Amino acid sequence: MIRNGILIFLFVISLTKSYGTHFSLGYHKMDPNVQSQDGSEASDPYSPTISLGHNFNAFWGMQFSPQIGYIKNKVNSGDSYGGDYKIETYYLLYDLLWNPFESSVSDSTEWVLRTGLGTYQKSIKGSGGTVTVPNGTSTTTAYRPSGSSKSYTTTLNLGIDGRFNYNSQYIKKWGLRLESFLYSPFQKQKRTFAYLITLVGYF
Amino acid sequence: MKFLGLVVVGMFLSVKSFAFILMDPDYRIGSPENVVVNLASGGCQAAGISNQELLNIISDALNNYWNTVPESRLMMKPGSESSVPVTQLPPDGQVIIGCASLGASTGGVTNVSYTASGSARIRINSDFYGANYNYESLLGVIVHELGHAVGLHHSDDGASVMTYRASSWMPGPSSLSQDDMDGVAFLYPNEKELGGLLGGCGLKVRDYAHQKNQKELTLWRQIVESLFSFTSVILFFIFSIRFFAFQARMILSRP
Repeated sequence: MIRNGILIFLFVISLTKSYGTHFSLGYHKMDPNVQSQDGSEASDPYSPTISLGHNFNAFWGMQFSPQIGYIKNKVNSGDSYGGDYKIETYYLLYDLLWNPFESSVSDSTEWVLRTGLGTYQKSIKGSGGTVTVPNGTSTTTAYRPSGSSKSYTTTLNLGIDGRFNYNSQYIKKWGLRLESFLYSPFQKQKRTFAYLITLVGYF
Repeated sequence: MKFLGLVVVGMFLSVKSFAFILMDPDYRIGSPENVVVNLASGGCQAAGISNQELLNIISDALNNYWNTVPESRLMMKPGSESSVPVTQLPPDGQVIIGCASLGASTGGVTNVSYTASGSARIRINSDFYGANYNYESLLGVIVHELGHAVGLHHSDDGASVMTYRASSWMPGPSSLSQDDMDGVAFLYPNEKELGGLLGGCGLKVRDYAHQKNQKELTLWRQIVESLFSFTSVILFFIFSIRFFAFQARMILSRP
């Protein structure tokens, strides 16, 4: 409820002090640190993501850029049990933007650094039910996950935006965003990197 | 615009299923942020494995595997030899590990209490593991049995440490598989903080003893993590200070 309230508040403000609403489409990828079937380090699949955000003019050319996004997690698995599972992630990013070059590199291009905090909410949903699994020399009944489980993780963000002019009926500018996230920055054992690459349209 | 729409639909269409399976829908280990893994009375000394050796392997199995899932609050720590015999279940929130003769068919067996705040006992097969044990093999068995202790059953995914199949990564796993991590995240998700606005930052959880047994990070990874954290924090503080200074100046300059 608090999150929804703040988001609504932010987007209402964005209507009154508009700089640039942006829509992005791209891929999110966790750092490869899981085991594959042959024991080597497996690369996490690229999961598609979309996000919507707004850049607020703040001060000295800086901007505050809250975003809400969605990741459709793709999972590599050799499962033959089948089953109806679903993993998806929603995220909120609270980034500050800074143009270290003070002005555009050229009239049509600018590069902006971004850093801030983020919240990832990973949701794992299962339809429940039982399966028979091998257990020692016999078999036993085991259970598929049932219901939904939501896990929240804090990230530390660092990235760069490239923005390019593009005159069309709908899009004022387009850009490329590269951003990296440090999951669980305060826990040494759980610390993990993730990366995001997206095409961005500014309206 | 139509092309963009087709691209978006195509990107989000294909989905694969995953494989983690649960011991019981309602079973969870008690106090998942602070699970203690003790040795059963006598440990595996009768089989020729000293308590310190066994605790070191348990520490590796915890710190390099089950404690590494960023989306989970599960945190286990190695304890010491307890007075609980390997024939009994320990108190809630605890796991005990000991040795017993189990015949030729298994490396280990785990029993859990099947409650929502449960406990577990793990018996390592002393017919297989004695004074001349293979470290990787024993580590693999303990990692697998600890997976049962936290609530995961056998997986059909050959990459999973919970697989019942003979996989080419055996005897020792290099890390958890994605299925294992998703299973732990499902069973023990991070709780939200500040209404979910700050996620689960994990400040309540401390690093535990036996740090020397943690997986050694590669040098490049240490450098990248350090630079990343340092740069992010410095930039964030610069932005914050400039923001508040600007706001203060605006307020003070009002007539």
